[in-house]
Amino acid sequence: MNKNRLYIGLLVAVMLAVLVYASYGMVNAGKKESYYSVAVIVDDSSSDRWTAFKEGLEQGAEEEKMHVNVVSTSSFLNLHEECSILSRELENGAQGVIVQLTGDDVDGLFSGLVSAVPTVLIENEGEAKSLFTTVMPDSYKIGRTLGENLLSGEAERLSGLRIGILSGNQKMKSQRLRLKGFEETIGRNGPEIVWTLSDAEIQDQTMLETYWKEKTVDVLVSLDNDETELAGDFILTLFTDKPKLYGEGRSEKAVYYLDKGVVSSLVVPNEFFMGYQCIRELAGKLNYYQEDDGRDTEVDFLSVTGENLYDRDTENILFPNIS
Amino acid sequence: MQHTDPKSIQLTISVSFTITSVCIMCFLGVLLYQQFARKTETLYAENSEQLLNQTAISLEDYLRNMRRISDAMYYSVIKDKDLAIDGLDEEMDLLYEANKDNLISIACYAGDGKLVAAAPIANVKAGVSVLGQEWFQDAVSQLENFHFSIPHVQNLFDDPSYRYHWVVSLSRSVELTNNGDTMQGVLLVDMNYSSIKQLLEKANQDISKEYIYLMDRNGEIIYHPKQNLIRTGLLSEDNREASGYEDDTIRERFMGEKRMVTVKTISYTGWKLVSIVPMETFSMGMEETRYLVILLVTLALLATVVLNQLVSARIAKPLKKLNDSVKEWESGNLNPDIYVGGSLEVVHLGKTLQSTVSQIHQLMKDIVTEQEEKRKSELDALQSQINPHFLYNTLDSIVWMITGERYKEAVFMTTQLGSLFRVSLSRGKTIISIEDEIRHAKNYMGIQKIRYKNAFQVIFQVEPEVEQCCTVKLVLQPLLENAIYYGMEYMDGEGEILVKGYKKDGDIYLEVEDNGLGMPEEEAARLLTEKPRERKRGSGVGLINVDSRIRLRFGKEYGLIIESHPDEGMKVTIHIPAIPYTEENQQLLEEGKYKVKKQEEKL
Repeated sequence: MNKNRLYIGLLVAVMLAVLVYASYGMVNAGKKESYYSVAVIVDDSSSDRWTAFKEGLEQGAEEEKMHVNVVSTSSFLNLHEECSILSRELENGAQGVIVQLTGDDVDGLFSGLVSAVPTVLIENEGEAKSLFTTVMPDSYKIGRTLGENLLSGEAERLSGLRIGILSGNQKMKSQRLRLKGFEETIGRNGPEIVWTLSDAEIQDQTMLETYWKEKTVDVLVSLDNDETELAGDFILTLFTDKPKLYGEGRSEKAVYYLDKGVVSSLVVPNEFFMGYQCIRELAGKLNYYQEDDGRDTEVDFLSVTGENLYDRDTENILFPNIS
Repeated sequence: MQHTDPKSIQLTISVSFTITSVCIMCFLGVLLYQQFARKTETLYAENSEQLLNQTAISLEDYLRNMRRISDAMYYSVIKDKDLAIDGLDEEMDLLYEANKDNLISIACYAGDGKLVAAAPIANVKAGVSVLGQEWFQDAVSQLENFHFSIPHVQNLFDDPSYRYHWVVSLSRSVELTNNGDTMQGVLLVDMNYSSIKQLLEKANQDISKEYIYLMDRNGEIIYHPKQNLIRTGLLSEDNREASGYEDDTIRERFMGEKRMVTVKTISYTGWKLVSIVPMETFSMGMEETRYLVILLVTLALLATVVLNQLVSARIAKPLKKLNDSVKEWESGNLNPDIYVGGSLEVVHLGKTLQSTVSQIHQLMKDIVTEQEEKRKSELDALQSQINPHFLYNTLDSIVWMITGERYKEAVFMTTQLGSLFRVSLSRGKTIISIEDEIRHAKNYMGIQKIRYKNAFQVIFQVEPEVEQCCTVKLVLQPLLENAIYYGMEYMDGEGEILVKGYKKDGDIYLEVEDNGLGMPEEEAARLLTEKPRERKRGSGVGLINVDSRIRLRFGKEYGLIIESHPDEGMKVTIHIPAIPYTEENQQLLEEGKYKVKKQEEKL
């Protein structure tokens, strides 16, 4: 009889356990999923160049149930300024961060700040490549492609061709790699790089005009979006001896300059994919506790010219935002 | 067949009811859930179709409006104007202004690709030729139709604010009049793609995984909620396959996912609106119901199990108590307290058992009494075998005979006495043949006749058939003794005792009849019911004793029958069954097993 009572007791215990499980399930079934809060810190976040990137972030956030806050920023003076904003965001409860490092984290300030937070770096990994997950195009390849585009576009007058380079923020490793890629491609083939100016040296169009008067070149090369827009703006002011422009960029203004013929060739990274992939990577870390293991996702890019600007595939990369 | 230990009634009831309840509850639960699931699926399908139809109506409205703009421009403006005299700009601007929320531009081109008019007024991009653009080629190749392009970035006008627009181009061939001559042209209405997008985004606002997308007749995607992912190759859609579907709901498996696809064709354009409902959506929507069903079924099961326990205990408890009573009885308590209670059937069972126990108890008491009586009777019989008084008188008579030199008579009497004792002893047997019993009676009567100097006569009329049957020994002698002492004593030589033995209706009757004084019927009847009175004389074995011994041995239907009338004499009849005198029958009767054997033979 005792044995029978034990069996009945066990059966009742199992049923009670099922009751608790079902009740818990019912109570929680209607609850909305929790959303992770992610802060995105990039240089000059309101710039048109980030439109596709933001589209990608938005798409990813929708799928991965995240709240993405693209922090409103202007151009950073240095990494410390960027880190202060990052610190503020972390204090405000950001559970993950996506950061475009505007300098090399030589003093480890950035690494220290995000040591406990899932982090994804875009565009520039700084000197901390092995520590963080990165989603970015291969900067060296971009520089090399720019060089190759120039070589093929100016094939008939390579000898003695004078090149001026707007190299952007050379505190960023990615920009240095672009420059290196470009220089190594050009260096073997005859053109002369007359000058290379970083954004610290050429902060606006007037400075460029001044410099231009001293040393004119046949071809301008811009290694980032801002430099391409700057160069485009500058070329439009010229009435004669307009230089050709080979640049990197993806803002509508940069595309417009390509469409107008101001830019001969534009290297456009697939920033929609970059934004989307950043969220996927962060979701992996937040939902599945993946380590910051230095995973690298390479973002592809394409070279756009006036001829293929309105091709279906190019349109999709250049204009992911429907206006 | 495997032997299983018997289980308690409570366990059997409880387990069988619990198993049945669990099976029924689980079956009902599954049935209920499936019913819910089916209804939900139907509801989802209906909602999805309804949403698709509403979206299709809105989209058709929008496209019809666009066609109306084109018609208005063509039939009300272009057909009425001679381009050499009037321009189209004013009317075109009016139309554009009235519909600018949905339009990017309206433009009219001549057959050679030269712009005739456009609204809003804008600079034509340098170096752009419309001749190579798809919308222009479609309009020129199929003159009668409207042509809707797939979304593309407009490449016609220069926008100094660096803006690019996604448009869906509605183009048609038109006849332009210039200086009285007609020529072919193309009217282009560039619809703002974002209007279509907004319209479809409304339909996709639901956060569930259900969505609607739009494609043209060739399967080219016009709108998809994850269009950018598809464009960048991060996601795929089976739009090519779906473009072949007729307007219907189809269940398909795509990329390992089961889903319900509903297709609705948009009139005139050939575009197709496709609603995708992943089957996973149903199960997600059913999550709460699933938990509810589990909760209800488990609660019902729990209640059933508890109820089963209570009911089975209620049924089993009285039976258990009854069983305990039986166990007590089995353990040796011959008068146990039998439990009577519980349900009607158990009460009946208890009462029956109580009655049975009581009857058995009474029967056992009766058996003990009977056994005691039997023993006493047999003791009496033994005592009767040696009646000192009878022996003394007989031996005294023999002495007197010898003294009187009546040797012959003395020898006869001695011989009779010896024979009498031989039969009386019968080697300790109780059952003897009627022949021996008659012999014993004759010996006894021989002695008595000498003692009473032949004052009476004895006649034996016994059928030979009867002599070979069994009887209890010494049943006739007491009867004869009674006949002598109560019947013959005052007869003076005229007394007569008739001993008859015959068979009738399968039974044997031995009669001892005298012609003595007799007695009243009432007194004769009392001879077998009242206790033996004080013995006066005789063997000391009364009629009651004989009657009791016969009934004990052969059953209550047998015994003595006394018939007597005053001055007419008395007849005492012994009624016994006709049992052939064999060694086996004799043995069985001795051991009291004869009746049992006969009953077994009958069965």
